[in-house]
Amino acid sequence: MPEKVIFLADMESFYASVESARDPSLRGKPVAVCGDPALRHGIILAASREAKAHGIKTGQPAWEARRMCPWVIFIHPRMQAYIDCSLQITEIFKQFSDRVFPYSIDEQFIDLTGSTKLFGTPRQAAEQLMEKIRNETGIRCRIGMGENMLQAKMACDCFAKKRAEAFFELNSANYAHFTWPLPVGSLFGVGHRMVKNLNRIGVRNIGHLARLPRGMLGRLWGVNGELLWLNARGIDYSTLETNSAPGQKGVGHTATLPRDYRRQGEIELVLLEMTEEVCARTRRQGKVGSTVHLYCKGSDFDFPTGFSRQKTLPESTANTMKIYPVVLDLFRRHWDRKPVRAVGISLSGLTPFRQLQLALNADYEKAEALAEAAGQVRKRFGKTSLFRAASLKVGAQLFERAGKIGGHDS
Amino acid sequence: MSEKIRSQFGCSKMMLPEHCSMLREQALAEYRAENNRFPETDEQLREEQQYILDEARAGGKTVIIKTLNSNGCNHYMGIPLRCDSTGNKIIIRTETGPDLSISAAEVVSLTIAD
Repeated sequence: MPEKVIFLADMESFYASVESARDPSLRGKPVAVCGDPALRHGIILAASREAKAHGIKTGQPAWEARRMCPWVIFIHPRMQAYIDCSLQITEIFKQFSDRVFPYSIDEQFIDLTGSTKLFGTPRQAAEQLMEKIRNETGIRCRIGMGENMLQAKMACDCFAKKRAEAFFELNSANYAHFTWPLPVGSLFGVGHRMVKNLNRIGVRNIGHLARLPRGMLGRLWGVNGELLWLNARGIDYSTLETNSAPGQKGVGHTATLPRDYRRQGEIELVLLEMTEEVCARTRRQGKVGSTVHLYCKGSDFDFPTGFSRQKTLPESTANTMKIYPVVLDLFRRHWDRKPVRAVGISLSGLTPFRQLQLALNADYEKAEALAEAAGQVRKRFGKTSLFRAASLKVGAQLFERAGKIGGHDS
Repeated sequence: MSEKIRSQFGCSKMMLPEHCSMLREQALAEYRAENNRFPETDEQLREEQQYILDEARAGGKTVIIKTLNSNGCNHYMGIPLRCDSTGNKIIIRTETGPDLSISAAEVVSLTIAD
């Protein structure tokens, strides 16, 4: 059986590169895309190569970046432009293979197995891809290659990004040689908290992890432990799903609040607005959900507080006033009275909305018709055209979030 | 095997809902374009169609014409009366209705009815 040829293409400083491509006067200058420096979300979302040379990193506060490089150019994010560019790149990849899997806005997997006669060796194919993307979008891309998605991801993150040729190949034969000496934090799926846990049991590099018994990791961290063992050995059972938007399991919204929310009333108001948003999106898909999930995170991200709880509804619905009491119940039961900085609500267990339900209960029918009408108004005239009066209160986020994508300007 | 092990990248992918919906639209547009793609008619096929048309017209035979345009696929049945080479049209007389003018460029198949 022929070996698989999987590419992971990663766009360099994606947001900053899109901005530089659109405005040539920015080329060669330190550019950082960030939210409003005066607000909480004034953090660096992307920094150009020139900005990185001054030590500016993604996730850094804007004021700190300014201190490191006083002449850095801050640019507000324009999420729609980045999504459009990402779609354009997907289109380019589809000229090479019909098996493309967008993993995030700036990373996409491509399966080029069996295309040697069309595009030459994998390296030649990668060079053609990189050149085409650079010519058509002005963005530099790096490509990691592997026999599976994990190897491609590791090849890209740990090697291709650091090399001038922007390409690196890992395979089952060389995976251990190249990756085992790397610090364990470099392994895909290992976050900073897991690094601490692994260090505690004497694991410093990927090789140490690979040599531990699989069962031991399974006992310590369940499925996650087993997955780490597999990843350390370059084994991955993932299949490249070509459907870019597979059957959705849930609809959710999360938001980082502009400040610490301490008052119960303010937090509950945001929860109401988010419940409304989640329900509206679920209805737009013609679905109803059966499980509500609420997540609240404290303000100190280094010492996490908060909770994550879910509850199954007595009957599937996408009606705000049926779901909100459940959200409130979860919140009041689990909130520890500490300030909240991030909240998230999701509705899962989605099933298609059935007309049969309408016929069962006249009130239900009325509520659904009202929600549908409100949804139509908002769809036509915008999210803020019809809203609850509570959204005019202090702490409300509706107007702040309206017209934004992923919490940033569209 | 747990889903996380079977599809760790499917489980961990981070996509904005707006991005997902636009990808869905893109995939749908591709699907539609692929399924409604106009077939390429080569010279030989054109000649064969012309031959069938001439034969039907001479013998007063009924033909079945299948056309494809942006509105979809259509079938017509009738006796060919003449070909308007200026407008590139085929005029046929149907059994019940009035004479029809069919754009020759949209014809994808042409057969004599049994």
